Amino acid sequence: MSTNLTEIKTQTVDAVENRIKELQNTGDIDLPEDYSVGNALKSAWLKLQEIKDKKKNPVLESCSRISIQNALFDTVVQGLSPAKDQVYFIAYGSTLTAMRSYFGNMALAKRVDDDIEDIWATIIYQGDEVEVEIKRGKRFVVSHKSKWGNQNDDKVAGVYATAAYSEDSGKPDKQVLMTLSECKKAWSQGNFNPNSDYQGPHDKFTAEMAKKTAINRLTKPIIKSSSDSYLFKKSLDRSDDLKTDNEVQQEIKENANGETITIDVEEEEPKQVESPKEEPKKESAEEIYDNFDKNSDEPF
Amino acid sequence: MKIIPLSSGSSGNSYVIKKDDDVLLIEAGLAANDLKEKLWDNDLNLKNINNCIVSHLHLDHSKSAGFLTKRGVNVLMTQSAIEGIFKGGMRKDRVFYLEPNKTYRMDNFVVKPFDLSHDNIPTVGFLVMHKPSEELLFYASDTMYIAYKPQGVKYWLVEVNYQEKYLEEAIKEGRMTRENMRRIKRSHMSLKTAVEFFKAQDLSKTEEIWVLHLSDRNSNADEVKEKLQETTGKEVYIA
Repeated sequence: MSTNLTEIKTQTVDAVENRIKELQNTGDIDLPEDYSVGNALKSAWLKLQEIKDKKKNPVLESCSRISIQNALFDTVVQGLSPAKDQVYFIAYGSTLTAMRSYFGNMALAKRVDDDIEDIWATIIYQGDEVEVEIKRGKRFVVSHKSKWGNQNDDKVAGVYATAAYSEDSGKPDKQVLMTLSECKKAWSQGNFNPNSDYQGPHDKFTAEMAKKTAINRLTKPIIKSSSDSYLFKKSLDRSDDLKTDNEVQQEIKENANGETITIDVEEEEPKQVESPKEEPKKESAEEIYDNFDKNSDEPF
Repeated sequence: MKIIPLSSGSSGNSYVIKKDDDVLLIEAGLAANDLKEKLWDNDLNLKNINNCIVSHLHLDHSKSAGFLTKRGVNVLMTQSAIEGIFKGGMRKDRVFYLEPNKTYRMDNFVVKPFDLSHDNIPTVGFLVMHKPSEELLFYASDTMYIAYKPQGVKYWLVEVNYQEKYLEEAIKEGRMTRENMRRIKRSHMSLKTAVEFFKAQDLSKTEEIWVLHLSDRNSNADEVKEKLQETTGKEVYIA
């Protein structure tokens, strides 16, 4: 490992690991017992060395240390495993972000809701016999019959993802049903362009991609609406606070209490203001002045 | 030098620095009438004050800056503060731009502003020397941390805004939003940061340490005083 890489590792992976340990010691964060912070960070580090940004530069060089720290932080605080592809790293300019994959969404949904036994997705092909009921305002597949001959990746008609709850919990299963055109609309938000001739993964593996889309749509509300009583959920909530703490601590550690300052022998003549500047230099100045009253009960 | 805090905290900041007949006002965060009253309480009045320095544009530091210029006081402040305050009206020939890291003479005082970190609001602190006596004063408020390490400072005026445990408590009891807590952490100094700051400083010439901008809700003055006295071995005053 070159010295540069060692240095980056100390400032990112090791810094985050230490911070997490501190937070665990103070009880500020509860990670699942079967989750190894060390392993997660190690596998993240291996992945990060391979990842390049849009301009083909290694992200470890092009992304800010703080953003790398934050991405690692997000990964660990959510209990995600980079080795299991539960999270992937993407560079937006000089900011590295950790995005949850659909594996990550599945793992997290099961973790925030103990009663979920399994999550899966089923493809509906053209010619299948599907009966859909509206249950409590939601579309629900009550029966689905398919013929072997229908199983054709070019003839996907739709998909539904199911979260099955254990019988003991007494909760009804959750389901998300999507037609292919709904899937395509979701994909058109990303890089996939339904009108282009380019044959991307969504064309080649339509069924698999549709399953991922449906599972993401099913699990996101489970994760985001889970109750606060769950310990791990609390640490999810706290991830923004932790990020702030982390940034603040890091900036203080790097910059505080070091620079010398003295009164100079040569004095400047203070510049008198003749007239106000036409346009404020910083856009914030006037806005803050205008908004001051709204926030005035808080310390500035 | 005599340090006279007229007011400290989010409702308004203003500190008088007095050496013999020389008076410097740090911050103009009190409303004009309150300022006059507080000066009166301390056997001072506006005629004693020729110079004022302002750290940033927030009203709890700059409210009466315009008023002071109209009473003939020279006010030195950052460009963004001037732009903000011009709305309230001021006498232009009494307002002076400051740039960080330059040394300015204001009668018998010499002032060197330096950058602080107050979220993204341009904010400065001041290293102040009373020229005839060569006494040094260091002023820093409204900042996440202080980057500097000055030598030979006799008087420290430094913000301690919060103690982390009280922020946590406020969150738990629902008195504060998480967003607010994050903003405070990015723009104000904690006791912990202040302790680290003083540990790194040369305190050999130090006589007084003043704690500024303490929040009633997010800190405990006695604890802050005790902790800093223990760290520095100096007399600590709460402004």
